[in-house]
Parts: sequence; C-alpha cells; structure tokens
Amino acid sequence: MKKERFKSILLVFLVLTDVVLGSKILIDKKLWPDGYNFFSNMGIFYSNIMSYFSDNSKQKAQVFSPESIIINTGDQTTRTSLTSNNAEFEELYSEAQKLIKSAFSSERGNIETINKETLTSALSADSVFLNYPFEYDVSLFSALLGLKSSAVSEFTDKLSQVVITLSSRPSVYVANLENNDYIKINISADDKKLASLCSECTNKYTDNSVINYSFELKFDQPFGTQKTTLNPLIRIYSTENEYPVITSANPILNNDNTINETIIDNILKAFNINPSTMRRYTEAGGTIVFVENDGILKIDTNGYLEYQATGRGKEISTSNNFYADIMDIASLVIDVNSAAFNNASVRLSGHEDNELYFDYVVSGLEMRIDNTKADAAVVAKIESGYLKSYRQLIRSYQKTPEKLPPPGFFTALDSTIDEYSQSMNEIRINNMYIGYTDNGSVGTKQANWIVEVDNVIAVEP
Amino acid sequence: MFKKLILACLLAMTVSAVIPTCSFAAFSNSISLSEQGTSSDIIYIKRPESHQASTSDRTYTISAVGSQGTVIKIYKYNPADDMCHIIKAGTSIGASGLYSVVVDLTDNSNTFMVTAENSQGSQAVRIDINKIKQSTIDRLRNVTVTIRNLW
Repeated sequence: MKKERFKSILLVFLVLTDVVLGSKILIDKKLWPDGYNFFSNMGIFYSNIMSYFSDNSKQKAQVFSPESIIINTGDQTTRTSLTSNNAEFEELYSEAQKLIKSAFSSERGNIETINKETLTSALSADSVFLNYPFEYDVSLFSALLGLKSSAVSEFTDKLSQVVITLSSRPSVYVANLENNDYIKINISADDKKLASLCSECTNKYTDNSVINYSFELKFDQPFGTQKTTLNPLIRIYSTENEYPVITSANPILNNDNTINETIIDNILKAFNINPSTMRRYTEAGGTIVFVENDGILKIDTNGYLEYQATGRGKEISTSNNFYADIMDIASLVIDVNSAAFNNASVRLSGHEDNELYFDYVVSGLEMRIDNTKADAAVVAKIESGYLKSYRQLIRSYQKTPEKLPPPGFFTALDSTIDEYSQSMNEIRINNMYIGYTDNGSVGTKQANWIVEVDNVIAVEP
Repeated sequence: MFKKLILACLLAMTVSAVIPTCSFAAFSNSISLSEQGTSSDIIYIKRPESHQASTSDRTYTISAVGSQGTVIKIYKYNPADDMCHIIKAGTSIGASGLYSVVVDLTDNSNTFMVTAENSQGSQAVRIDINKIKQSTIDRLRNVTVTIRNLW
C-alpha cells in the first residue's frame, strides 16, 4: 500500500515536471513558427502579460532625465548639486517636471524673451536649475512632457537648461545657449512641494563644496590676454567629492572566455528574435551572427552588438509618431541592458534626424564611450516605426567599495587647454562635468572631468 | 675726490641692481596692508570687479586671470597686529589663465590681500568683503520708493 502511494506521488511529480519543462521549452524557445502554433501564440501572450506587469516606466523616466539638478539658495555656500545617484533626485525631478509641463502648456501671452542677465539673476536667487545632457528640440521636449505642441517653440527651437524660480510667483526660464535664446514663462502652478524638497536637500547635503557658476566668476567674459572663456553655466566646484571606482566587464564572455549563452538568449528575446526561425553561425573572429527575415544581428566577443535591417526592418512601433518611436526604442535599450545584467541605467544623450544616441549612467555619472568603434553606448536608427540599425556596446558596470576624488576643476581645465595652447589663440569650453570614460577596455574606471571644447580659434600661420 | 666719485657710482650701481631683486623676492607669510608690489598688471581681479563687495553668505569666491606660471597667494588682514597673514599658500596659474579661491568670511569686515608673482614682477591687490545680515538684504529687497509731490 505504501509502495503504491509512493509510486502515485512520483508519477504526479513527473507529470507536473514534464508539463512545466515542456511548456517552458515550447514557449521560451519558440520551437514552432509564429502564427501557426498554440504554444507560440501563448508565448507572445505570456510575454505581453509579463511586460505589462514588469514596470520599466521608472527606467524610462531616467532615460529622459537631466544630467544634474542644482538647488540655488541665493548663497553659494548652501548651493547643492544632485545627480540620479541621490535618493531625492527622482522626486525632485518629478515635481520640477510638473511645473515645466505647466510652463510648456502656457499660452503665448505668458512667455517673454529675456536677456542673459535676467536668467543669471534667477540662478542667483532661490531656484532649481535642471541641466540636460544635450540640446533638446523643443518639440521633442514637449512630447516627452506629454504635450502635442507648445507655444515655447515660437520663441526657441532648442533648449538644454531650465531654471524654475521658487517664489510667490514662480517662473520657468528656458535657455538655448547655442543661439543665445533666453525665455521666461510665468506660471500659476504651486511650487510649495518643490520648495519643501529643495529645503530638505540643502539641509541634508551640507558637506558639499562651494559651487559657483562660471558667470559669477566672470570666466565667461574675455579680458586682455585671457585665452580661455567658459560657458556661463558651467559649475566650478571648490573641492571635489569622492566617487566610487567602477569595474567594467564584458558580459558576453564567461570567465573561461566561452560565450555566455544565457545573455545571448536574453538579447535575442529583447530583439524578439525567434530562435526557431533564425539561422546562427559564428564568423572566423568569433562574432556570432543571427540571420532572420527582418535583419542580421551580430554580437562580437568584445561586446559590440550590431543589428542591421534587411528590407523594412524590425517593427518597433505602430503609432507612426516619432516621439512614440523614441519611447519604444528606449524600451528596447532598457531590455537589452537588462538582458546583459547591467546595473547601469541609460539616458538619451542626443538625436539627429532618425538617429538616437543613448549613454550609460553609472552611480549618477555619465559613462562616456570613447573608442574607435563607438562614441555612444547605443546608436539606434528608426524610420516610420521600423528599426533600421542598432549598435550597442554591451557592458556590465559594478560599483566597488573604493572611492576616489577626481582632479580639481582647474587641474582638469588646464591640462585640456595645454593640449591646444600651442596651436590655438582662443579656446571656449562648452561644458565640463564629472563622469566616467569607457575606451572599450574592461577593468576599473575612475571618475574624471569630461571637458567639451566648443570652439577654438587657431593661431594664424 | 675721484675715489669718492667712483664709490658713489659703485653704490648707485649696487642699489639699482639690488632694488629690483628685492622687489621680485617672494612675498613672505606676513605682509603689510600697504604692500603693492612692483607691477599693476600681473593679474586682473574679475570678482569682485571693484575689489570690494557685500554679501550675507559665509564664504566668498575671488576670481582672477593672469598668465601661466604666475603664483598667487591669499592673505587675511588681522587688525590686532595690523598685518596680513597668509591663508592660502602659493598656487600657480595654469594654461587656462583662470584662477579662483573660496575664502571664509569670519568677520563683519574682511580684508584680503591677493598677491601675484612671476618673472615680470609682483603685485598685491587689496580686497574688502563686508558681511551683512540676511535680514538687511531682505529689508532692502522690500524697500519701495515713493515719489512724493514736493510742491
């Protein structure tokens, strides 16, 4: 009797295991062509359900977040700088975005053109300064706020900095330093929550170094033999904070230099490539190539992923709206990043026509990709809802317990100027900020200053 | 007579040779408030432009431009001994030509001396920063001027 009972339990266990493992293989590996098989359709249904429940809206919000938020208090000593690494960043950004949305929804009558001095005086008072990593098209910026259009586009076509003054009558200032367009938008929205968050942050982060804007120190104005001028909104820190040392790994390879098939599988899933209908082969250099009807996906052993559409390409979005396409591309970037178990988040770092650029953000700082094969972590080209090409440097970044300060502001600036000083008469610095640089090699990375030289006037021969 | 003339000439030559050498000598750790140096164009103070400012903040950033290699030191005036004592050791201006330093405003009236030295000579610039109460600034912000009819 006991033996019979044991046999029944074992049988039930084996049947259940068979059902679970069998369905997993049928669904996950898509062993049957799409559209012809119940299991395959179930797989799509299952993945749709999973994507519905997996919340990547938070990651999507980070994709379009500013590089830093500066809380201005009217005093240079208590001015506070936050990046996405600070716990308060997200809430502060969300509150600031509500006021920016209110400003961008304003009627034309509430918007006025101002001069640079009016903008800089706003930065010297109680205000919040949002510094975006690149010049956004106003139409794209409005779309990301959920607006179809904005009267702001009648005053400027691009923007990279936004200032919100905190007062009884809050205003939003928008700067386009490329064209020297400065505008002020009067808003009626309530800024109390934002003001209270700012107050909490300035009380909490009291050990920050003194922050000055370049315009305060008049480094944006040339004088006499002064060779170097800085963008007026560059922040100059009196002392440097310490930042974690980062390790960069190529997750495509295991420790024994074999291909990590789990990650390859995850990437195929992110690209919605059906393993049963694609053809796989390995090139002489070790690059794995996946060929399917829509395109060719290549993953090399250094971690470079490249998708090239054949024909129409891979359908990403059905909305026929470029801004919706951007959201869908952001989802794909997030999915590929998750597939490689990368802890870094991604942020939109530029766009040109149909091409979008994304960079990794590690510990609140930008990871600048700087090597011969890529100058952005992700470059994606999309046309009418179809993915035409996609390149990504697959990396996995981890924080180490070690923290080191970058060199001082002037040490970094001087060493950059040194490179040009022999051949250049006048050097303008467009941006200077702290970030990491990935030249493609794996190993440890330290935070350092990233100096963007905007324009140089060569010495006449 | 001739001997005296030669001696006088030698003395004059020695003095003319020694004076510039003494002037180029590095500023010591304490200097007088009247110190000016030998030149007036070694550095240009960008902030505060008028060499004096008022603030309610507890720090102030002084900025300047100068040529590469110029060594800048910051001194603070102490009324007790009527001398300026060094608070920031010599920093050399780099290739950018830009320099800034944050100073603490510990008193209501703060006098600093910025000294600069290079092969062209030396310069000392006095800077006065007054600390005012935040309440005074707030009061000033709320002042409204009413034009009265005087007739």
